[in-house]
Amino acid sequence: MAGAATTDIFLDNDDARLRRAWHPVARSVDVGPEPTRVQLNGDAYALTRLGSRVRTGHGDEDAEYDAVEVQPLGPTLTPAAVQECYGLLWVAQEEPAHELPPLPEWYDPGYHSAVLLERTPVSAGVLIDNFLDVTHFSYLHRQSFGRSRPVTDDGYAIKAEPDRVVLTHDTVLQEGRRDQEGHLGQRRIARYTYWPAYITHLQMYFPVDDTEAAATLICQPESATSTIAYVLVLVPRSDPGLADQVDFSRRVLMEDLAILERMADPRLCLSPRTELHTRADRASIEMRKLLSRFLAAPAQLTPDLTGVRA
Amino acid sequence: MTAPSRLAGPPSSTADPAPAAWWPMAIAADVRESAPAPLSVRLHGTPWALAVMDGRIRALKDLCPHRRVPLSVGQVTAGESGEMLQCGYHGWAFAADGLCVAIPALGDGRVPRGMGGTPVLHVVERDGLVWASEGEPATFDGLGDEETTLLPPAVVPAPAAACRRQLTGSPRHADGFAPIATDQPIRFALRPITDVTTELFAVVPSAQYLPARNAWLELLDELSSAHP
Repeated sequence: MAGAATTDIFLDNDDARLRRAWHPVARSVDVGPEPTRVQLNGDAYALTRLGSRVRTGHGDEDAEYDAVEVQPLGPTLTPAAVQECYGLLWVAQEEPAHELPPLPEWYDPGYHSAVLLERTPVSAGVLIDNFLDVTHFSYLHRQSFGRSRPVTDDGYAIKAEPDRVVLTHDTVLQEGRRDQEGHLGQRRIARYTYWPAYITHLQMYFPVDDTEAAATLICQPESATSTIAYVLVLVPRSDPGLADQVDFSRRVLMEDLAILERMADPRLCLSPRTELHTRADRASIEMRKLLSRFLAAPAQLTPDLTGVRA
Repeated sequence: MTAPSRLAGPPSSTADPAPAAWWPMAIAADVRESAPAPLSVRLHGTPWALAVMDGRIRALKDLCPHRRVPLSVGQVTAGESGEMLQCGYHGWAFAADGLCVAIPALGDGRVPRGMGGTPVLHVVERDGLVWASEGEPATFDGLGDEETTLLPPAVVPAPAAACRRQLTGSPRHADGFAPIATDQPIRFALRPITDVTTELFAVVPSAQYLPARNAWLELLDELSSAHP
Protein backbone atom coordinates (compact mmCIF):
# COMPACT_ATOMS: atom_id res chain seq x y z
CA MET A 1 0.00 0.00 0.00
CA ALA A 2 1.30 3.37 -0.90
CA GLY A 3 2.20 5.60 2.01
CA ALA A 4 -0.46 8.02 3.08
CA ALA A 5 0.07 11.57 1.96
CA THR A 6 1.24 13.78 4.79
CA THR A 7 0.60 17.46 5.23
CA ASP A 8 3.24 19.66 6.73
CA ILE A 9 1.78 21.83 9.48
CA PHE A 10 3.73 24.83 10.67
CA LEU A 11 2.65 27.21 13.41
CA ASP A 12 2.81 30.88 12.48
CA ASN A 13 3.88 33.34 15.14
CA ASP A 14 0.73 35.37 14.47
CA ASP A 15 -1.69 32.45 14.50
CA ALA A 16 -5.02 33.77 15.84
CA ARG A 17 -5.37 30.77 18.19
CA LEU A 18 -2.46 32.11 20.23
CA ARG A 19 -4.58 35.09 21.29
CA ARG A 20 -6.03 33.02 24.17
CA ALA A 21 -2.62 32.68 25.82
CA TRP A 22 -0.78 35.05 28.13
CA HIS A 23 2.17 36.64 26.36
CA PRO A 24 4.75 39.12 27.63
CA VAL A 25 4.88 42.41 25.75
CA ALA A 26 7.62 44.26 27.65
CA ARG A 27 9.86 44.19 30.69
CA SER A 28 8.27 46.14 33.53
CA VAL A 29 11.37 48.26 33.84
CA ASP A 30 10.98 49.41 30.24
CA VAL A 31 7.44 50.77 30.65
CA GLY A 32 7.14 54.32 31.97
CA PRO A 33 4.79 57.31 31.70
CA GLU A 34 5.79 57.87 28.07
CA PRO A 35 3.91 55.54 25.69
CA THR A 36 5.89 52.51 24.55
CA ARG A 37 4.89 50.84 21.28
CA VAL A 38 4.86 47.05 21.31
CA GLN A 39 3.66 44.31 18.99
CA LEU A 40 1.94 41.00 19.70
CA ASN A 41 0.70 38.46 17.16
CA GLY A 42 0.94 41.16 14.52
CA ASP A 43 -1.12 43.73 16.46
CA ALA A 44 0.35 46.95 17.80
CA TYR A 45 -0.31 48.42 21.25
CA ALA A 46 0.81 51.45 23.25
CA LEU A 47 1.82 50.84 26.88
CA THR A 48 1.60 53.77 29.25
CA ARG A 49 2.34 53.64 32.98
CA LEU A 50 -0.11 55.81 34.88
CA GLY A 51 2.57 57.22 37.15
CA SER A 52 6.26 56.88 37.77
CA ARG A 53 6.33 53.99 40.25
CA VAL A 54 7.68 50.99 38.33
CA ARG A 55 7.56 47.39 39.44
CA THR A 56 11.19 46.48 38.94
CA GLY A 57 11.96 44.37 41.96
CA HIS A 58 12.07 40.67 42.54
CA GLY A 59 9.03 38.86 43.93
CA ASP A 60 6.84 40.99 46.15
CA GLU A 61 9.25 43.89 46.27
CA ASP A 62 7.74 47.14 44.99
CA ALA A 63 4.31 46.25 46.29
CA GLU A 64 3.26 49.80 45.44
CA TYR A 65 3.51 50.46 41.73
CA ASP A 66 1.50 52.30 39.13
CA ALA A 67 -0.70 50.44 36.70
CA VAL A 68 -0.06 50.20 32.99
CA GLU A 69 -2.66 51.03 30.39
CA VAL A 70 -2.63 49.02 27.17
CA GLN A 71 -4.19 50.83 24.22
CA PRO A 72 -4.58 49.19 20.83
CA LEU A 73 -3.07 51.03 17.89
CA GLY A 74 -5.05 50.69 14.70
CA PRO A 75 -8.00 48.33 14.26
CA THR A 76 -6.92 45.94 17.03
CA LEU A 77 -9.34 45.17 19.88
CA THR A 78 -8.50 46.10 23.43
CA PRO A 79 -6.85 43.08 25.07
CA ALA A 80 -9.06 40.94 27.27
CA ALA A 81 -6.63 40.88 30.18
CA VAL A 82 -3.42 42.54 31.35
CA GLN A 83 -1.18 41.90 34.33
CA GLU A 84 2.30 42.65 35.57
CA CYS A 85 4.24 39.71 36.94
CA TYR A 86 7.74 38.19 36.92
CA GLY A 87 9.27 41.49 35.86
CA LEU A 88 7.17 41.51 32.71
CA LEU A 89 3.97 43.08 31.44
CA TRP A 90 1.61 40.36 30.18
CA VAL A 91 -1.29 40.58 27.75
CA ALA A 92 -3.97 38.08 26.77
CA GLN A 93 -5.63 39.38 23.63
CA GLU A 94 -8.68 37.17 24.21
CA GLU A 95 -10.04 35.65 27.41
CA PRO A 96 -7.03 33.62 28.60
CA ALA A 97 -7.37 29.86 28.64
CA HIS A 98 -5.06 29.49 31.66
CA GLU A 99 -3.63 31.44 34.55
CA LEU A 100 0.04 32.32 34.48
CA PRO A 101 2.02 29.36 35.87
CA PRO A 102 3.78 29.61 39.23
CA LEU A 103 7.51 30.30 39.20
CA PRO A 104 8.35 29.66 42.85
CA GLU A 105 11.86 31.10 42.81
CA TRP A 106 10.44 34.46 41.74
CA TYR A 107 8.58 34.83 45.05
CA ASP A 108 11.38 33.33 47.12
CA PRO A 109 13.10 36.14 49.05
CA GLY A 110 16.17 33.94 49.12
CA TYR A 111 16.57 34.56 45.39
CA HIS A 112 17.35 37.56 43.26
CA SER A 113 16.75 37.87 39.56
CA ALA A 114 17.31 39.66 36.28
CA VAL A 115 15.51 39.62 32.94
CA LEU A 116 17.40 39.65 29.66
CA LEU A 117 15.78 39.92 26.27
CA GLU A 118 16.72 39.36 22.66
CA ARG A 119 14.75 39.91 19.44
CA THR A 120 15.04 37.30 16.68
CA PRO A 121 13.31 36.20 13.46
CA VAL A 122 13.10 32.66 14.88
CA SER A 123 9.56 31.70 15.86
CA ALA A 124 8.54 31.47 19.50
CA GLY A 125 7.74 27.76 19.12
CA VAL A 126 11.19 26.88 17.81
CA LEU A 127 12.82 28.83 20.67
CA ILE A 128 10.81 26.89 23.27
CA ASP A 129 11.59 23.61 21.47
CA ASN A 130 15.28 24.48 21.61
CA PHE A 131 15.15 25.35 25.32
CA LEU A 132 13.55 21.98 26.16
CA ASP A 133 16.18 20.13 24.14
CA VAL A 134 19.17 18.90 26.17
CA THR A 135 20.81 16.74 23.50
CA HIS A 136 22.31 19.64 21.58
CA PHE A 137 24.53 20.72 24.50
CA SER A 138 27.54 18.78 23.31
CA TYR A 139 27.45 20.30 19.81
CA LEU A 140 26.11 23.80 19.89
CA HIS A 141 27.17 24.58 23.47
CA ARG A 142 30.34 22.52 23.75
CA GLN A 143 32.29 25.48 25.11
CA SER A 144 29.59 26.95 27.33
CA PHE A 145 28.48 23.70 28.95
CA GLY A 146 31.91 22.08 28.86
CA ARG A 147 30.54 18.81 27.55
CA SER A 148 32.43 16.97 24.80
CA ARG A 149 30.80 13.53 24.94
CA PRO A 150 27.30 13.34 23.45
CA VAL A 151 24.45 14.06 25.84
CA THR A 152 22.20 11.04 25.45
CA ASP A 153 18.75 10.30 26.82
CA ASP A 154 20.28 8.52 29.81
CA GLY A 155 18.84 10.08 32.97
CA TYR A 156 16.00 11.55 30.93
CA ALA A 157 12.35 11.26 31.97
CA ILE A 158 9.19 12.87 30.61
CA LYS A 159 5.88 13.41 32.34
CA ALA A 160 3.03 14.75 30.22
CA GLU A 161 0.22 16.30 32.26
CA PRO A 162 -2.98 17.93 31.02
CA ASP A 163 -1.59 21.44 31.29
CA ARG A 164 2.18 20.96 31.25
CA VAL A 165 5.08 18.80 30.19
CA VAL A 166 7.81 18.06 32.72
CA LEU A 167 11.26 16.86 31.67
CA THR A 168 13.78 15.77 34.26
CA HIS A 169 17.37 15.28 33.18
CA ASP A 170 20.28 14.12 35.30
CA THR A 171 23.63 14.57 33.62
CA VAL A 172 27.20 15.80 34.02
CA LEU A 173 28.35 19.14 32.66
CA GLN A 174 31.71 20.93 32.79
CA GLU A 175 33.28 17.49 32.48
CA GLY A 176 36.76 18.91 32.01
CA ARG A 177 36.81 20.61 35.42
CA ARG A 178 37.16 19.09 38.88
CA ASP A 179 34.49 19.72 41.46
CA GLN A 180 35.12 20.49 45.13
CA GLU A 181 35.61 16.80 45.84
CA GLY A 182 38.11 16.39 43.05
CA HIS A 183 35.79 14.57 40.64
CA LEU A 184 35.75 15.58 37.02
CA GLY A 185 32.56 17.25 35.89
CA GLN A 186 29.58 18.70 37.67
CA ARG A 187 26.37 16.73 38.07
CA ARG A 188 23.26 18.71 37.24
CA ILE A 189 19.73 17.57 37.94
CA ALA A 190 17.43 19.69 35.81
CA ARG A 191 13.68 19.94 35.76
CA TYR A 192 12.08 21.71 32.80
CA THR A 193 8.37 22.55 32.94
CA TYR A 194 6.62 23.72 29.81
CA TRP A 195 3.20 25.47 29.71
CA PRO A 196 1.42 26.63 26.54
CA ALA A 197 1.89 28.74 24.73
CA TYR A 198 5.47 29.85 25.23
CA ILE A 199 6.67 29.48 28.82
CA THR A 200 9.33 27.04 30.03
CA HIS A 201 10.79 27.08 33.53
CA LEU A 202 14.11 25.37 34.25
CA GLN A 203 15.04 24.45 37.83
CA MET A 204 18.57 23.19 38.41
CA TYR A 205 20.12 21.41 41.38
CA PHE A 206 23.85 20.75 41.71
CA PRO A 207 24.29 17.98 44.32
CA VAL A 208 28.02 18.39 44.81
CA ASP A 209 27.77 21.80 46.39
CA ASP A 210 24.06 21.58 47.21
CA THR A 211 23.19 24.68 45.20
CA GLU A 212 20.20 25.61 43.07
CA ALA A 213 19.40 28.03 40.28
CA ALA A 214 16.58 28.61 37.82
CA ALA A 215 15.95 30.19 34.46
CA THR A 216 12.72 30.77 32.57
CA LEU A 217 12.34 31.27 28.85
CA ILE A 218 9.24 33.20 27.85
CA CYS A 219 8.59 34.25 24.28
CA GLN A 220 6.63 37.14 22.82
CA PRO A 221 5.47 36.34 19.28
CA GLU A 222 5.60 39.88 17.94
CA SER A 223 4.65 39.14 14.35
CA ALA A 224 4.96 36.46 11.72
CA THR A 225 8.66 37.22 11.40
CA SER A 226 9.74 38.43 14.82
CA THR A 227 9.94 37.12 18.39
CA ILE A 228 11.30 38.57 21.60
CA ALA A 229 12.88 35.99 23.90
CA TYR A 230 12.90 36.90 27.60
CA VAL A 231 15.11 34.91 29.95
CA LEU A 232 14.40 35.27 33.66
CA VAL A 233 17.63 34.42 35.45
CA LEU A 234 16.99 33.39 39.07
CA VAL A 235 19.91 32.84 41.43
CA PRO A 236 20.02 32.42 45.24
CA ARG A 237 21.08 35.60 47.01
CA SER A 238 23.86 33.57 48.62
CA ASP A 239 25.34 33.30 45.12
CA PRO A 240 26.94 36.63 44.20
CA GLY A 241 27.17 35.67 40.54
CA LEU A 242 23.86 36.97 39.17
CA ALA A 243 25.62 39.14 36.59
CA ASP A 244 27.77 36.18 35.56
CA GLN A 245 24.65 34.02 35.18
CA VAL A 246 22.99 36.66 33.03
CA ASP A 247 26.10 36.80 30.83
CA PHE A 248 26.15 33.00 30.62
CA SER A 249 22.46 32.83 29.70
CA ARG A 250 22.94 35.45 27.02
CA ARG A 251 25.94 33.60 25.59
CA VAL A 252 23.98 30.33 25.44
CA LEU A 253 21.01 32.09 23.82
CA MET A 254 23.26 33.66 21.20
CA GLU A 255 24.82 30.27 20.44
CA ASP A 256 21.33 28.89 19.87
CA LEU A 257 20.28 31.81 17.69
CA ALA A 258 23.43 31.48 15.59
CA ILE A 259 22.13 28.20 14.17
CA LEU A 260 18.36 28.69 14.49
CA GLU A 261 18.51 31.95 12.54
CA ARG A 262 19.98 29.99 9.63
CA MET A 263 16.75 27.97 9.26
CA ALA A 264 15.03 28.63 5.94
CA ASP A 265 11.66 28.30 7.69
CA PRO A 266 11.99 29.06 11.42
CA ARG A 267 8.40 28.15 12.31
CA LEU A 268 7.56 25.29 14.68
CA CYS A 269 6.52 22.15 12.86
CA LEU A 270 3.44 20.52 14.40
CA SER A 271 2.93 17.64 11.96
CA PRO A 272 4.55 14.53 13.48
CA ARG A 273 6.05 13.10 10.29
CA THR A 274 7.55 16.18 8.69
CA GLU A 275 10.67 16.03 10.85
CA LEU A 276 12.44 12.91 12.10
CA HIS A 277 12.19 12.19 15.82
CA THR A 278 13.88 9.67 18.11
CA ARG A 279 13.25 8.67 21.69
CA ALA A 280 15.68 11.43 22.71
CA ASP A 281 13.15 13.94 21.36
CA ARG A 282 10.29 13.00 23.68
CA ALA A 283 10.17 16.42 25.35
CA SER A 284 9.92 18.04 21.95
CA ILE A 285 7.15 15.68 20.87
CA GLU A 286 5.12 16.09 24.07
CA MET A 287 5.50 19.87 23.91
CA ARG A 288 4.11 19.88 20.36
CA LYS A 289 1.21 17.63 21.35
CA LEU A 290 0.27 19.86 24.28
CA LEU A 291 0.58 23.02 22.22
CA SER A 292 -1.54 21.44 19.48
CA ARG A 293 -4.24 20.58 22.05
CA PHE A 294 -4.13 24.15 23.33
CA LEU A 295 -4.56 25.47 19.80
CA ALA A 296 -7.39 23.04 19.05
CA ALA A 297 -9.41 23.90 22.17
CA PRO A 298 -12.57 25.89 21.42
CA ALA A 299 -12.25 29.59 21.89
CA GLN A 300 -14.13 31.21 24.74
CA LEU A 301 -16.34 34.23 24.34
CA THR A 302 -14.35 37.41 24.49
CA PRO A 303 -15.87 39.90 26.92
CA ASP A 304 -15.59 43.59 26.23
CA LEU A 305 -13.02 44.72 28.76
CA THR A 306 -12.21 48.08 27.29
CA GLY A 307 -9.83 49.98 29.51
CA VAL A 308 -8.54 47.00 31.46
CA ARG A 309 -5.42 47.93 33.36
CA ALA A 310 -2.66 45.91 34.87
CA MET B 1 36.46 22.58 -29.59
CA THR B 2 33.64 20.08 -29.92
CA ALA B 3 30.17 20.84 -28.75
CA PRO B 4 29.29 19.16 -25.48
CA SER B 5 26.75 16.38 -25.57
CA ARG B 6 24.72 18.26 -23.05
CA LEU B 7 25.26 21.32 -20.97
CA ALA B 8 23.46 22.22 -17.85
CA GLY B 9 20.43 24.37 -17.96
CA PRO B 10 18.71 24.01 -21.31
CA PRO B 11 15.31 22.58 -20.50
CA SER B 12 13.57 20.08 -22.73
CA SER B 13 10.54 22.29 -22.42
CA THR B 14 10.01 25.52 -20.58
CA ALA B 15 7.49 23.89 -18.25
CA ASP B 16 9.46 20.76 -17.47
CA PRO B 17 13.19 21.25 -16.94
CA ALA B 18 15.23 18.24 -17.96
CA PRO B 19 15.67 16.17 -14.81
CA ALA B 20 19.00 14.76 -15.86
CA ALA B 21 20.69 18.01 -16.83
CA TRP B 22 24.08 18.77 -15.38
CA TRP B 23 24.02 22.03 -13.48
CA PRO B 24 27.12 24.07 -12.62
CA MET B 25 27.04 24.44 -8.85
CA ALA B 26 30.27 26.16 -7.78
CA ILE B 27 33.96 26.62 -8.40
CA ALA B 28 35.52 23.37 -7.18
CA ALA B 29 38.44 25.16 -5.52
CA ASP B 30 35.98 27.20 -3.42
CA VAL B 31 34.37 24.01 -2.12
CA ARG B 32 37.74 22.47 -1.27
CA GLU B 33 38.89 25.68 0.39
CA SER B 34 35.77 25.72 2.54
CA ALA B 35 36.37 22.16 3.82
CA PRO B 36 35.67 20.73 6.33
CA ALA B 37 32.76 23.18 6.30
CA PRO B 38 30.38 22.67 3.36
CA LEU B 39 29.37 25.33 0.88
CA SER B 40 25.65 25.95 0.46
CA VAL B 41 24.35 26.40 -3.10
CA ARG B 42 20.76 26.72 -4.31
CA LEU B 43 19.33 24.92 -7.31
CA HIS B 44 15.72 25.64 -8.28
CA GLY B 45 15.34 27.20 -4.81
CA THR B 46 16.50 24.10 -2.97
CA PRO B 47 19.70 24.45 -0.92
CA TRP B 48 22.43 21.84 -1.36
CA ALA B 49 25.47 21.41 0.86
CA LEU B 50 28.60 20.81 -1.22
CA ALA B 51 31.06 18.94 0.97
CA VAL B 52 34.42 17.24 0.44
CA MET B 53 34.06 13.69 1.77
CA ASP B 54 36.94 11.24 1.41
CA GLY B 55 38.45 13.50 -1.23
CA ARG B 56 35.36 13.73 -3.44
CA ILE B 57 32.90 16.56 -3.60
CA ARG B 58 29.37 15.50 -2.69
CA ALA B 59 26.04 17.32 -2.71
CA LEU B 60 23.61 16.58 0.13
CA LYS B 61 20.35 18.42 0.60
CA ASP B 62 21.19 21.30 2.91
CA LEU B 63 18.50 20.53 5.46
CA CYS B 64 18.85 18.23 8.44
CA PRO B 65 15.71 16.06 8.48
CA HIS B 66 15.73 16.18 12.29
CA ARG B 67 15.12 19.87 13.07
CA ARG B 68 15.47 21.48 9.61
CA VAL B 69 18.64 23.48 10.23
CA PRO B 70 21.09 23.69 7.31
CA LEU B 71 23.66 20.90 7.24
CA SER B 72 26.09 23.46 5.87
CA VAL B 73 26.31 24.90 9.39
CA GLY B 74 27.99 21.63 10.39
CA GLN B 75 31.16 20.04 9.07
CA VAL B 76 32.68 16.90 7.65
CA THR B 77 34.15 14.53 10.22
CA ALA B 78 35.61 11.04 10.23
CA GLY B 79 33.16 8.16 10.57
CA GLU B 80 33.56 4.41 10.86
CA SER B 81 32.87 3.82 7.15
CA GLY B 82 34.29 7.00 5.70
CA GLU B 83 33.84 10.68 6.20
CA MET B 84 30.40 12.00 7.03
CA LEU B 85 28.67 15.35 7.15
CA GLN B 86 27.69 16.14 10.72
CA CYS B 87 24.92 18.58 11.61
CA GLY B 88 26.04 21.35 13.93
CA TYR B 89 22.87 21.25 16.03
CA HIS B 90 22.58 17.70 17.42
CA GLY B 91 25.43 15.95 15.62
CA TRP B 92 23.28 13.77 13.36
CA ALA B 93 25.64 12.59 10.62
CA PHE B 94 25.10 11.62 6.99
CA ALA B 95 27.24 9.48 4.69
CA ALA B 96 28.13 10.39 1.11
CA ASP B 97 25.01 8.58 -0.12
CA GLY B 98 22.85 10.66 2.23
CA LEU B 99 22.07 7.88 4.70
CA CYS B 100 21.88 8.87 8.36
CA VAL B 101 24.78 7.04 10.05
CA ALA B 102 24.97 8.63 13.50
CA ILE B 103 22.55 10.02 16.08
CA PRO B 104 24.74 10.81 19.09
CA ALA B 105 21.81 11.30 21.49
CA LEU B 106 20.99 7.59 21.15
CA GLY B 107 24.48 6.43 22.09
CA ASP B 108 27.40 5.21 20.03
CA GLY B 109 26.51 3.65 16.71
CA ARG B 110 22.79 3.57 17.31
CA VAL B 111 20.64 4.55 14.37
CA PRO B 112 17.09 3.16 14.25
CA ARG B 113 16.42 0.80 11.36
CA GLY B 114 14.80 2.60 8.43
CA MET B 115 15.82 6.04 9.71
CA GLY B 116 16.45 7.19 6.14
CA GLY B 117 18.53 10.23 5.46
CA THR B 118 18.77 13.24 3.21
CA PRO B 119 18.63 13.40 -0.63
CA VAL B 120 21.82 13.65 -2.66
CA LEU B 121 22.74 14.75 -6.19
CA HIS B 122 25.03 13.08 -8.71
CA VAL B 123 28.23 15.13 -8.76
CA VAL B 124 31.23 15.40 -11.07
CA GLU B 125 34.17 17.77 -11.08
CA ARG B 126 35.12 19.07 -14.49
CA ASP B 127 36.75 22.22 -15.84
CA GLY B 128 37.35 23.52 -12.31
CA LEU B 129 33.62 23.40 -11.64
CA VAL B 130 31.35 21.21 -9.53
CA TRP B 131 28.48 19.88 -11.66
CA ALA B 132 25.42 18.19 -10.25
CA SER B 133 22.47 16.33 -11.65
CA GLU B 134 19.13 15.72 -10.00
CA GLY B 135 18.41 12.49 -11.85
CA GLU B 136 20.26 9.79 -13.74
CA PRO B 137 22.66 12.06 -15.55
CA ALA B 138 23.37 12.26 -19.27
CA THR B 139 26.91 11.78 -20.52
CA PHE B 140 28.91 14.89 -20.05
CA ASP B 141 31.78 16.32 -22.06
CA GLY B 142 32.43 19.38 -19.98
CA LEU B 143 32.42 23.05 -20.71
CA GLY B 144 36.01 23.96 -21.42
CA ASP B 145 39.29 22.45 -22.46
CA GLU B 146 42.99 23.18 -22.16
CA GLU B 147 42.60 26.20 -24.48
CA THR B 148 39.93 27.94 -22.43
CA THR B 149 39.88 29.92 -19.21
CA LEU B 150 37.06 29.93 -16.68
CA LEU B 151 35.65 33.36 -15.83
CA PRO B 152 34.41 34.25 -12.35
CA PRO B 153 30.76 33.20 -12.00
CA ALA B 154 28.09 35.89 -11.98
CA VAL B 155 24.64 36.04 -10.41
CA VAL B 156 22.04 37.94 -12.40
CA PRO B 157 18.52 38.90 -11.27
CA ALA B 158 16.82 37.15 -14.17
CA PRO B 159 15.12 33.78 -14.73
CA ALA B 160 17.23 31.10 -16.41
CA ALA B 161 15.04 31.04 -19.52
CA ALA B 162 15.44 34.79 -19.95
CA CYS B 163 19.21 34.47 -19.62
CA ARG B 164 19.27 31.78 -22.28
CA ARG B 165 17.03 33.77 -24.57
CA GLN B 166 19.16 36.88 -24.31
CA LEU B 167 22.49 35.05 -24.62
CA THR B 168 21.57 32.62 -27.37
CA GLY B 169 18.42 33.93 -28.96
CA SER B 170 16.43 30.96 -27.76
CA PRO B 171 15.13 30.03 -24.33
CA ARG B 172 15.60 26.41 -25.28
CA HIS B 173 19.02 26.69 -26.86
CA ALA B 174 20.61 23.36 -26.28
CA ASP B 175 24.32 23.86 -26.16
CA GLY B 176 25.00 26.97 -24.17
CA PHE B 177 26.98 28.86 -26.81
CA ALA B 178 26.78 32.61 -26.53
CA PRO B 179 26.90 34.29 -29.95
CA ILE B 180 29.73 36.62 -29.25
CA ALA B 181 31.84 37.91 -32.10
CA THR B 182 35.17 36.41 -31.30
CA ASP B 183 37.12 33.89 -33.29
CA GLN B 184 35.75 31.22 -31.02
CA PRO B 185 32.47 31.49 -29.15
CA ILE B 186 32.21 31.94 -25.44
CA ARG B 187 30.69 28.88 -23.86
CA PHE B 188 28.54 29.19 -20.83
CA ALA B 189 26.38 27.17 -18.53
CA LEU B 190 23.88 28.37 -16.00
CA ARG B 191 22.08 27.29 -12.87
CA PRO B 192 18.64 28.53 -11.79
CA ILE B 193 19.22 29.62 -8.18
CA THR B 194 15.53 30.44 -7.86
CA ASP B 195 12.77 31.21 -10.35
CA VAL B 196 14.10 34.76 -10.69
CA THR B 197 17.83 34.49 -10.08
CA THR B 198 20.46 32.70 -12.14
CA GLU B 199 24.15 32.01 -11.76
CA LEU B 200 26.21 31.98 -14.95
CA PHE B 201 29.54 30.28 -15.56
CA ALA B 202 31.53 30.91 -18.73
CA VAL B 203 34.79 29.87 -20.34
CA VAL B 204 36.56 31.99 -22.91
CA PRO B 205 39.36 31.14 -25.31
CA SER B 206 42.59 31.74 -23.41
CA ALA B 207 44.18 33.28 -26.49
CA GLN B 208 41.46 35.95 -26.62
CA TYR B 209 40.91 36.25 -22.91
CA LEU B 210 40.60 40.02 -22.54
CA PRO B 211 38.29 40.84 -25.46
CA ALA B 212 36.17 37.78 -24.80
CA ARG B 213 35.93 38.54 -21.09
CA ASN B 214 34.96 42.14 -21.80
CA ALA B 215 32.33 41.00 -24.26
CA TRP B 216 30.95 38.59 -21.65
CA LEU B 217 30.83 41.30 -19.00
CA GLU B 218 28.92 43.55 -21.39
CA LEU B 219 26.41 40.77 -21.94
CA LEU B 220 26.00 40.35 -18.19
CA ASP B 221 25.43 44.09 -17.82
CA GLU B 222 22.75 43.94 -20.48
CA LEU B 223 21.14 41.00 -18.72
CA SER B 224 21.09 42.78 -15.37
CA SER B 225 19.80 46.00 -16.94
CA ALA B 226 16.98 44.15 -18.63
CA HIS B 227 15.90 42.66 -15.28
CA PRO B 228 16.37 45.38 -12.67
